Order: sequence, then structure tokens, then C-alpha cells
Amino acid sequence: MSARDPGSTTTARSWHPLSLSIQLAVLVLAEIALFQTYGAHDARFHWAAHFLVAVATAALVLLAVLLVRGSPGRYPLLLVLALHLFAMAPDLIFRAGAPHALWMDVFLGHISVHYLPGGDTAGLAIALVAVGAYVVALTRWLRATRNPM
Amino acid sequence: MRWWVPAAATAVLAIVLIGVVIGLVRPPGPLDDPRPAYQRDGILRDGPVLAREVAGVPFGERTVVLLFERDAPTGAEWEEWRQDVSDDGVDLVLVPASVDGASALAAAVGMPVPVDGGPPVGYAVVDPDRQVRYATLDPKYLLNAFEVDVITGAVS
Repeated sequence: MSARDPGSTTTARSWHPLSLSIQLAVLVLAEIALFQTYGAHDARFHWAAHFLVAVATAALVLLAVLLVRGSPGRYPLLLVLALHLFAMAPDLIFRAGAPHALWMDVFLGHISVHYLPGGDTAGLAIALVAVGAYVVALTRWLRATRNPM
Repeated sequence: MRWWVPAAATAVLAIVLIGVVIGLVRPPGPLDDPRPAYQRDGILRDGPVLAREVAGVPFGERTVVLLFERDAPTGAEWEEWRQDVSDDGVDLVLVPASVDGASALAAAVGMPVPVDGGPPVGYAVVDPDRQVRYATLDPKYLLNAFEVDVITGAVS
């Protein structure tokens, strides 16, 4: 990881407090809407499973970007939302009339994630570990670069 | 950005996530499948092939939806659900737990046993070749008529 590269202007902009606040607002509002939609069909378990996979995947993607590029990835909170929408795509396909099938695992393990031993609690633990790993790396980078963002 | 901001933000995120997953994502209720992954998973299965008649219910001509209930449903919501499910040339058979043969039907299609160990509340879909393609508990089936339509539409 480079301690000299402060990242691009776009990256710095996406980590600005105002940008993070907007991203957080978009993420929270969208997730509340998705939670209510799933909840209306007695499917909160499914919402949580796909959301937690999205959180874990986003953390791993951001960690990889940080390690490879030497600067943080862009729009971290919007990445979580984008990955969540991607992970839940088979549910939209189901709604359009096609049953679930094993090939739908290409959507961040859409089928298999439900069979994770421990269910959503295990998914939560994995997501928190992944986020924790990214935060450790990001914190080290911030300290090494002396606050470039 | 201060170096400690990500850690502090993550601590807040962790608390919120734990609260949401533990507090808002409800655990299986007494009528639910103890294995949430197997309830309404939306995956067609190549289940057992039934005899031409099981407990007085004929199979093999059209898609059959067996609705397992503890008490016969009533009301406008039920009527709407019944209409939605059976308007595509599907035979809907209501199987209250009290009728003779309910247990035999549930066993034949492989209905899961709910958390409370009692009779199932949910439905099974048997295709025109008498093969069981779907069997799930769903105590809130009235909310999810479209799911039955998706399954029956795929097997008919």
C-alpha cells in the first residue's frame, strides 16, 4: 500500500464529509424502502441475508482497491447499495414470473447465502469482520498519509 | 479525515446492524419452518411422484395446489387469494388439518413440520405429471398469492 498517493480528486471528493453524508442518506432511505418492501411479504430474513452479503462484499472490494491502488475506493456507501441491488436482482426476476434457480448464485450467492449455517447471525458476523478488516487497513492508510482526504 | 473517523463510524454501524438483524429480523414463529432458508425459497424441486389419487385427491390432469391449514380460512382476503391462485386452470384443494387424509397428504408431498410441531400451514404444488415441485410452510400465504402464481405458472 502506498503512503504517498492521496488518491484522485474524485476519490477525495467521494470521501468528503458532505459526500459521505449524502451517500449515507441515500443508502439509509433506500434500505428502509427495501426493508419495508421485503417486510410486507414477510421476508425480512431475505432482506438481511442479501444486505449483509452486500456489506461484506463492499468491504472486501474496498479493501482490495486500497491494497492494490494505494488509495481508497470511491463512493463506499453507494457501493453497498449497488451491491445490495445486484444481490437481490433474482427477487425482481421472481416477481416478474421466474422461480429461483441455482444459477442465480452469480448474484452474490443469492441462493446459497440462505443456507449459511447460523443464518443471518452468521452473515452479520462475517459482514462485521469484513468491515473491520477494511477499517483497519483504511485507518493505517490514513495515519500513514497524514490525513490526505 | 481524522484517522479515527472510520473506526468510530464502523462502531456505530456495527451497533445499528446488530440492532436491525437481532431486533427487526424476526426469528421463526410457531408456524414457520425452523429452517428459514427452506421456507418460500422459490426453487422448483423434482419431488416424489404421487399416485393418481391420494386421500381422495386426484392428481395427474392439471396442476394441483394443496393448501394446508389448521382451520378453514374465510373472509374477503381468502376469497381473493383463492381466486388469484385458481384462475390459471389450477386446481386448488383446501386441506384443513381436521379432515381425514390431511396427514397422509402432508406426508405424501413432504410438507415440513413447523416450529410448534403441529400440522403444517402452507402449500404444495403438484404438476400435471403428478410430481411434487414445491412444498413450503407459509403461515402468511394470504400476503403472497403472487408467489403461488409464479410457481404454478412455471410448472403448468
